[in-house]
Amino acid sequence: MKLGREFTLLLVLVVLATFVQFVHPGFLSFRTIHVILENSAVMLLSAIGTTLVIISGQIDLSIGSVLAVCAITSAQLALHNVPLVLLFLWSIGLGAGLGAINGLVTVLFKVPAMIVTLAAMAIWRGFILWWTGGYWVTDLPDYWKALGSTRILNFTLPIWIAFSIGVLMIFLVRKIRFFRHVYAVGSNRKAAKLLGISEGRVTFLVLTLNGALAGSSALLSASRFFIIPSNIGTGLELSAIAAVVVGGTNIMGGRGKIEGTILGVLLMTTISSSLVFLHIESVWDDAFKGMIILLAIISDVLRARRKSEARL
Amino acid sequence: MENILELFQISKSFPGVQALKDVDFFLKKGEVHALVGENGAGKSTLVKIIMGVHQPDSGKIVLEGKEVKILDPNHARSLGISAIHQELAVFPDLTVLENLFIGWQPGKFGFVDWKSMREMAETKMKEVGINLPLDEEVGNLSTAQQELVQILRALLQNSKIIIMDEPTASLTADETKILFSTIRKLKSHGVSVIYISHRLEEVFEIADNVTILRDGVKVLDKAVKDITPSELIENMIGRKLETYYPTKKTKPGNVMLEVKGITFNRVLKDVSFKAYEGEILGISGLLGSGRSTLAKIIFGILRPDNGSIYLEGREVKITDPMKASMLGIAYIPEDRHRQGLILPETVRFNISLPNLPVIPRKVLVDIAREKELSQEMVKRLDIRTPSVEFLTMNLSGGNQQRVVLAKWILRNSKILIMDEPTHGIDVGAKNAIYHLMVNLAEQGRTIIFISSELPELLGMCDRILVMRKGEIVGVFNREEFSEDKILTLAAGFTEEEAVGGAGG
Repeated sequence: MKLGREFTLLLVLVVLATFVQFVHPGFLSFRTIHVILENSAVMLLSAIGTTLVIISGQIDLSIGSVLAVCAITSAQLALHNVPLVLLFLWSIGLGAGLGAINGLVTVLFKVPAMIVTLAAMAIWRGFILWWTGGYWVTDLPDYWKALGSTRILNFTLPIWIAFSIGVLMIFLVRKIRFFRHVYAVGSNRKAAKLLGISEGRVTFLVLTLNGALAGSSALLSASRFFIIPSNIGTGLELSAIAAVVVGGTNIMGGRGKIEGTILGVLLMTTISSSLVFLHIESVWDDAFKGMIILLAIISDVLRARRKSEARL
Repeated sequence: MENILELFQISKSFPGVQALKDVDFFLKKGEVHALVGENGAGKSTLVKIIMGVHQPDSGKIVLEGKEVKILDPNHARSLGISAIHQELAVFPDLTVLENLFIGWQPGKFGFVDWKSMREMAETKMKEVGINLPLDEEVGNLSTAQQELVQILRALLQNSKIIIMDEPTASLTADETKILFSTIRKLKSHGVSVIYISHRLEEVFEIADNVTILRDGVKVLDKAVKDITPSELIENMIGRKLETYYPTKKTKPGNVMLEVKGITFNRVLKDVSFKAYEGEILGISGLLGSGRSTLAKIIFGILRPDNGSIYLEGREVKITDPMKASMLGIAYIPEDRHRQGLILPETVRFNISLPNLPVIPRKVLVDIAREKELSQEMVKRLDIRTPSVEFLTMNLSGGNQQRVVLAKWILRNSKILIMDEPTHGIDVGAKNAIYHLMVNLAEQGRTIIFISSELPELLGMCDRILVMRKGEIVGVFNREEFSEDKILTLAAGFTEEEAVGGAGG
């Protein structure tokens, strides 16, 4: 019971990898695994932020656009040879700021974050298209790619950074009081209020954190390339929500684990890579994700129903 | 014994209502003090003042000999006052341990110290003799255990005063026993309990003293051993209690409803019965006997696998609730909060909702007509609301129940199925509902009265059907009513069951 979801995910991951390896030997090479880990790293931080947002009972649809704004502006700063450390501060700070705007509007006007972030998604995407005129940022200096291509023990830095933060978060979520309040608010809003936990504060901080994590994802993602397309990050929210829900987080809030999300992310990127290996057209990728979200949600609902029936 | 909490001359008014007027309340150390009164008598206001949710307009609060101002619930908690809330204030997705400490977890720098939390919880559980699985998710616990979680939380915060608002409302008899033995242990540890309940027999079982409020005024405070049940009720409702169960002046007429051979899943098995015009037909049975399922089938919420339903001799196909209400059937569900009312809407809105087909002639709702009709119903059913524009969620339980009834009476329903209509409402409101039921039956309507409280069925019904495990196992006419027989039949073990028996 305790291992439940994580164990299933691991099992599916192993079975899938074995299957693809069987059909197409060469899948389980270091190169493919590295690609999978790298793609996971790019998604992981956003997925962790999304996990917390969903646990608190909200949804953030704006992270793809927030990532785009952070990545494009950072790249443009890099064209002026701004040092990497400052780029990091800029990207994370800007992401946090955009997240804070989401949070502020959500809390002040008492609207669901889903609506606010839907608007933010469109606004920032529109902004970035206007800002770049649809052009890509090119001719980036060498140091830009240093982050994405530096390797420690054969793995690139983004992998190390994302997965270290992921593992750290597993513990912090259990240990830090604020994160427990996130669970409380998502589980029973009314009860949280009775105990003096501020729902507004939780919502605001969780959305801000999600923005900051999208900001850091931006650099991990963009620093792998010398060219930054203006549509970078499109669909990130869908992938992140899919990974989170597959990872066992209840879409209605209140329950979920970072370890589940990490496995969810690995599974989703492995599926994407498998599609390539199995020669299934990549246009099916999004449809696949959508179906997986649906399946995970249905299984959650069925489980909840069984539980309530068992109690009758 | 010394008083731990003293309230002197507390008054509080809200726009349009004087909720409390010069109320004195004294709570001794280590006692269980019952606070009783009809809905709207001021109990919740008093409790909210003690919890710091409201500030009194005048009067003073003395806690352990010192005058205090209780600013808000957090402040109350730090003063040692906790409340166990009616709607459970627990987090179903979190473990027991987390629930116990959420909002005030120990530890430094924003970190949670799980180890000392566990130790504190275990020590306290041993001390007061509560046993809870600390790592279990609270959502998997029984309602009683969830209440124990709240009590334990209060104790861990060193509460000296615990307010329990209707703690047994959703508990079974066994669970109530567990709760009471915990309350007794609390007493022996010097904890004082303010106990609010509509179930007066509980007051006599558990409380040492009782304070009675009526219309915002304290009418009596006395040791429970010096008061009789009828004295208590008369003080609550402010008049002599002659006819608790009113007598119906008419006899049942022709067959109104006939149900033949209804079978549903494994919940109902070949159920057949008749109900007559002007009859109050009781359905008795334990929880899970299929009572409510039967009601839902007659109202078209569920479709039976087999069987037929006749209305005034004609077979009808009840495909959905809309059809049922067109045919003149009304269903007043057990859980009026979730199924019976749209709480954040006005009394007017709720009353008119099922009646929209009779109110407007065009596409738009005729608000003036709607208002007029709901005002009439408010008057007829004596719904205590400042106006028909008042939100139903702000009404007391008894008045909410009357709004639900109003919806269907206005509809001129011929058959009213009432599922636990008196659940969770006070004596006075119950009495009013009984009168209303008799009144409706006298107009020739059929009332199907589902209840777990046998005394009210015995007092009210023309006939009682007894259900067990999805079957009707007995029918009693008024002359043959016997509490013993019905109870044994509802719970009992008979030959049939020993031989073949219904599953599940």
